[in-house]
Amino acid sequence: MRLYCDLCVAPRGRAEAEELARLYRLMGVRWVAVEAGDPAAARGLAEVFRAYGVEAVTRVTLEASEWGDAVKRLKRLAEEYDVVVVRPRSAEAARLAARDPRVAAVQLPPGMARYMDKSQAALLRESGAVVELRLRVLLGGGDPRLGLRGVMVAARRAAAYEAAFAVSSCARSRWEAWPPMTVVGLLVSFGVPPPVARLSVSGYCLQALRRGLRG
Amino acid sequence: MTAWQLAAAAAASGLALLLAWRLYKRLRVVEERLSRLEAGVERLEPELSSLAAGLGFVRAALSKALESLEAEEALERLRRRRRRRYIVFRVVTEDGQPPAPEELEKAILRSLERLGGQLAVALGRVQLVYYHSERMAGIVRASHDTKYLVLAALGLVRRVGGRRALLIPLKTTGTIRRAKRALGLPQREQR
Repeated sequence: MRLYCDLCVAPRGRAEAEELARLYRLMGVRWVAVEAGDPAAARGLAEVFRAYGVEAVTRVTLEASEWGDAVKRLKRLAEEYDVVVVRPRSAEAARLAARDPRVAAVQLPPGMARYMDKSQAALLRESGAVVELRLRVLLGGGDPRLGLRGVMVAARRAAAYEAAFAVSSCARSRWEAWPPMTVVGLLVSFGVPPPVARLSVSGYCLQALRRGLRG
Repeated sequence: MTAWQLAAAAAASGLALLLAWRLYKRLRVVEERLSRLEAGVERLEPELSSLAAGLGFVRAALSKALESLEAEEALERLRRRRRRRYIVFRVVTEDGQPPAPEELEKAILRSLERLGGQLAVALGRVQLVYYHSERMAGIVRASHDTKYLVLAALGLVRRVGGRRALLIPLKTTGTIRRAKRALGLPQREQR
C-alpha cells in the first residue's frame, strides 16, 4: 500500500486530533504537518498523532503582502516551527517566498491561481519549495465552483510547468479530511496525469516536509 | 591622310566587323538553345501536370484509408467488452451506525451527478455491488473510463441519510473477487 502525506491538519483539540489520527491510519496517511495557534499547542497535537503511528511535524502559515515585513516574522517562526508555509498577498511576495530557503511551501488560494506561472515554477524548481493547494475551500458550503476552478487552474498549471505541488486538507475535524485516493481522482478528473496526481499526496508533500525540517 | 593611317583604319573596321559577326553567331546559338529549352518545357508541362494529378489522387486515397482506419478503431472500441472497475471503500459515520445500502448508493450517485453531471452517471454505470454492514465497507462498480471521477465523487460524499459520513476508497481492482479479497473477507464469502 502506498503511504500518503497531508501537508496541513489543524485539529481544534486533542479529541479531534485523536479522531483524525485514527482516520489517517485507516486512509494510509503516515506523515502530517500540524497547524495550531502557538508552537507548544502544535507540538502537543503532533504528539497525539505520533502516538497513533502517524509521523507529525509542526507548521505555521505566514501571510505576506510586503516581503520586507514578512521576512522579520519568518526568521522567528522558522525557529519555532518545523515547517513554514507562506500565503502571499502579492506577486512580489509569491516570487520572493519561493526563493527563501526557510519557506517549505507557498500556499496559493483559489483567487491567486494566476500567480502559478512559468517564472514562479522555475523559482520553485530551483529552490525545491512546493506549491500548496488547500481543499477545505470546497467544503465551506455555498457554491463550490469558484474554489473548484481555482484549485483546478493552479494544479494544471503546476503540472504543466513541472513545479512540485502538494494538495492538503487543513482538516479541523475528521469530517473535513480528504482521502488521498479521492484527491488523486479529483486531480485526474481536472486533467492532471495520474502519476503527478499521486505525487501531490505523497512525494511532493514529503519534499516540503523534508525541506521544512532542513531549513 | 597617309597610306599607313588608311591601312590602320581599314584593319580596325575589319576587326570590328569580325567581332560583330562572331557575337551575332554566338547569339544565334543561344537563341537556338533557348528555343530548344522552351520546346522541352512545353513537352514536360503536361507530363508534370498529369504527375501532380496522380499524386493528388494518391493523397486523397491515403486520407480516405486513414479515415476508415480511424473509424474502424472507434468501432473496435465500441465492440470491445466494457471494462469494469471495482472500488473498495470503508464508511465512517458520526454515530458508528452503518447506513442503509440504498441510502449509500443514492448518496454516491448524487455526488457523482453533482461533480460530473448526468452524462457521467450514465457513462459510469455506478452500482453498489456489495455492502457489508458489520464491517462498514462496500464495493462500488464503475466503468474503467470514469474510475477517477467516481473516486472523486466518493470523497465528496459528506452526508448519508441525513447523518455525517465519510467514504474512504481503499483499493481499485478489475474483478469483484479481488475486491472482496482486499476487504479481507473469508474465502467462502469471496465467491
